[in-house]
Amino acid sequence: MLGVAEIEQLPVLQARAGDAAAWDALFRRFQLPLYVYVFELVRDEQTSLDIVQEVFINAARHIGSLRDDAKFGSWLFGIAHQKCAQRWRKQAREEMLREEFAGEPVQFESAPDDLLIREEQEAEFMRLLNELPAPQRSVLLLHFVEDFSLEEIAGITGVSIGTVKSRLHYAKKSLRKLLEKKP
Amino acid sequence: MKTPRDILFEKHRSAQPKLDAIRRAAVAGTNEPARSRITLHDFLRSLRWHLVGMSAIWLLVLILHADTGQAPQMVAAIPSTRIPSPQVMLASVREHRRVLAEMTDSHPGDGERRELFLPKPRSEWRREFSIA
Repeated sequence: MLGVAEIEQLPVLQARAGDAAAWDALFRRFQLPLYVYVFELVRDEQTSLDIVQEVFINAARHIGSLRDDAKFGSWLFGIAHQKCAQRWRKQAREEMLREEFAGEPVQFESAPDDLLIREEQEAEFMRLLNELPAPQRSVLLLHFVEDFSLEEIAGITGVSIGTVKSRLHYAKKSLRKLLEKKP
Repeated sequence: MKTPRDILFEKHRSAQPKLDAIRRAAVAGTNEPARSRITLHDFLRSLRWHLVGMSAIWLLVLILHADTGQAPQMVAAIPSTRIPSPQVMLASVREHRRVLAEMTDSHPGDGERRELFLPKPRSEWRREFSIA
């Protein structure tokens, strides 16, 4: 599967060479998706902005550690995920332990826009999203926001593809169930 | 009907100005590593005064060496006739040892015994064997 950078022809090579305009284009492309992802995980505006800033600084400093330019997007989200995980360890350790899965992981191949939400359901959708355990919310956001592949989500969150499949399946299932209940 | 992505982006659209400011600051920071990247030219430039100093020292060493360059010629200029023969040198050593023994009051016989070992010619060895 092609990475985001490969599809969109992101100027990663120029950024590696220290081209400020290339960095500007890359950061502009990812600033809002990164912020959305981080905010929905840490739920604090200032902390989210701090994390996005740290991600940008780290990316510029450690671009040499990126092996595949096509994976720039998932690499960036990986840094963000690690920063969020550091916050989670401090804030809500018990929430991470709450997650329990039953049964075998289910094959998940649906697109992120297969879940369409009516205008009157938007607030409810956001509330339900926030009610999901952090690991499920994390994979669901990566799926919704950037349409990352299962492999990329596994790389970002540091879990196996099977676990990503399982988390995504149950998160989406519970969201759909809750949304269907509403008139 | 909206996708989850649309809803999420719409919700956080208000953060855009703050994100722009963060982006600009981060991009300005990306120039710093480029400036701090040390090239060979920068490295040599930083060493220029050390190199000048070392060059001056080497120049001084070469000048001094050129001044004392006559020493080997002087050694070569000593005529070979002035160099004493080994026999004369040996006699001189014996004389010095004798004078040293007198000064330190050691027994003259000891001095004789401690005389330098000089191997006898092979012809004399055969004579000794035949006598035996």
